[in-house]
Amino acid sequence: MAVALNDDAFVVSRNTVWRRFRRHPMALTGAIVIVLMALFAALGHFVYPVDPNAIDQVNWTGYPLAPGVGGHILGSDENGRDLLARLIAGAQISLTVAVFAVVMQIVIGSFLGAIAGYYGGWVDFWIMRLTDVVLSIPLLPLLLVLTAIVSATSNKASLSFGVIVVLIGGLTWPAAARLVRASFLSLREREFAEAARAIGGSDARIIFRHLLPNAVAPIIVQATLAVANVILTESVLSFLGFGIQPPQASWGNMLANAQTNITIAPWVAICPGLCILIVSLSINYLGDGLRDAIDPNQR
Amino acid sequence: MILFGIISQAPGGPLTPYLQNPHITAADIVRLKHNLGLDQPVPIQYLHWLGQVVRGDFGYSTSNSESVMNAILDRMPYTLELMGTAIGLALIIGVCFGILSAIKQYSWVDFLITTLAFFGQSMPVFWFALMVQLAFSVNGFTCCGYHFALPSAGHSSGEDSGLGDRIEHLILPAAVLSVLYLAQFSRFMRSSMLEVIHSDYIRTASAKGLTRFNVVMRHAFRNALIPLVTIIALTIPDLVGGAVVTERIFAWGGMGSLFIDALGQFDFALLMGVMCLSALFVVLANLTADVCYAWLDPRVKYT
Repeated sequence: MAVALNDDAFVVSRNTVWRRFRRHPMALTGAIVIVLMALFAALGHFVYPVDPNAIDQVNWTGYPLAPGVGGHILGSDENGRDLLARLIAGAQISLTVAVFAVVMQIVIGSFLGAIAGYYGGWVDFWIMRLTDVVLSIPLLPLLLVLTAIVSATSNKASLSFGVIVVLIGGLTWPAAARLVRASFLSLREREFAEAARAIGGSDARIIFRHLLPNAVAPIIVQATLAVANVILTESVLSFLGFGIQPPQASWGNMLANAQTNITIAPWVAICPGLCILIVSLSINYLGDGLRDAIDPNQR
Repeated sequence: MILFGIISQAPGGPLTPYLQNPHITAADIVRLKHNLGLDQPVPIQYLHWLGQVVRGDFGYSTSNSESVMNAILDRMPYTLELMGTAIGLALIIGVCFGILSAIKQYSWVDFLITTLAFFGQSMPVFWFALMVQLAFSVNGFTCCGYHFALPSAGHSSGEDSGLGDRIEHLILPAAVLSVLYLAQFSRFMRSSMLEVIHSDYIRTASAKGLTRFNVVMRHAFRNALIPLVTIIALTIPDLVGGAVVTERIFAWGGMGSLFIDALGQFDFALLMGVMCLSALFVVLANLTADVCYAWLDPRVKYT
């Protein structure tokens, strides 16, 4: 999903971008939904102070509790834990994993892409071959293998959240690297880059102070769309039991056990999935709107 | 130049050894921990293993002492059946949807198809599969006065079940998978079709009085297919790799579930076999895609 780069894209003022962005009702809605979801994750516990891991000893009978029973607004899961509280905790985990993994992906990708695009030659060749190799391996099977290996070799019973972030971030950077390299290839030939070189700016200074800020537009779009992908990836991993480990809640692992009780308690399966769907749909719409606003020639 | 571009894009070829390297070394760390009998250095093990594979021997599975080749050949037909149906279906519908929404850009048809594509893109597979099971399988559904409840697990009711039974089992997983692929295909088809129908030669074709159908199908369609070939090439390895998540939810005993089982039991001979086969297909699919480019676009020359 490469964003085509034309020179005009760099000179569009912020006002123009905002004006174009406003024309996309779905993108605006998406942005609002994401803000609401972030608030839900950040402030949910203060509004609804229930422990997500506490088992309702009074009402629990071995099956999920129906919504409303025993004061659980959305009922409970198969272990008698409050569903809404777990949704809030899951939102925190899923969103934080997504944000950190994307930051990591963008940092690695931009750095390698910038170096490859700026220096060209054999540096470019080897970085791009590395990118091809990482891109050519199917992401999900590789992630499954790696998480399985890490959890087998580490003595800890549960996989830490950091491992997931590092693995996802460390395997998804090639898209960003390609994007940044493509814009650097044209940027390094521009007059201002030459001017910076002429007054004796070091390579590092030219790359990070002069060129990178000009390549930021496509990076933002890429980062937005990547958040949706990471949320989906994390939830799949957790669903298969290779991601965030219970009792810690994540939207993915909340669904893992929902299948067995789906006949008697469909809401346990519906709620977390709906959250994932809403968030990733909003982000995709937002990213699409941003792309149109920043680079309208894409359409 | 085009040739060079394509070759440098193709991830297979000389890079295949690197492709397998990270897995084998990582795998060996755990293998060494598991059975201490193997204390040879990792590179030697790798070379040994590679030597066997070149001779067509993937070794034996450590979890059920079946030869890896047999285990894979056992599961392969099921995966081919499921993925073939899903991808084929998605391709046909996706291409039609893509063309439709491109030639009727900004109409309600376009809006509907784009929205559908967005949903398909954002949908968590496993959740979608659960919802489909809930809707069509668990409670069943009533249509035309009949009550249906499609089977939600397995690929057939028994060894000697008929064709009808197998098709019944195929419907739900294939539908779930094809919706996901459909989203991707229709989006790509739409954007590449849009690009093509705004080009000069299409205007020429319309100007000389050809019917809209003729212009679209004979002139635009073929050229719009070229970007799609890349996407299809990326999808072909799934045909043998299977769909890990969907197969698990629908208890479909294909390559995807073989992979997950092997992973759960740290059966690395089996894992490597499955991964290698996928890698092989990545290379093959890329080669095929290159040939298809030349066939679709005579300007691409191989010297």
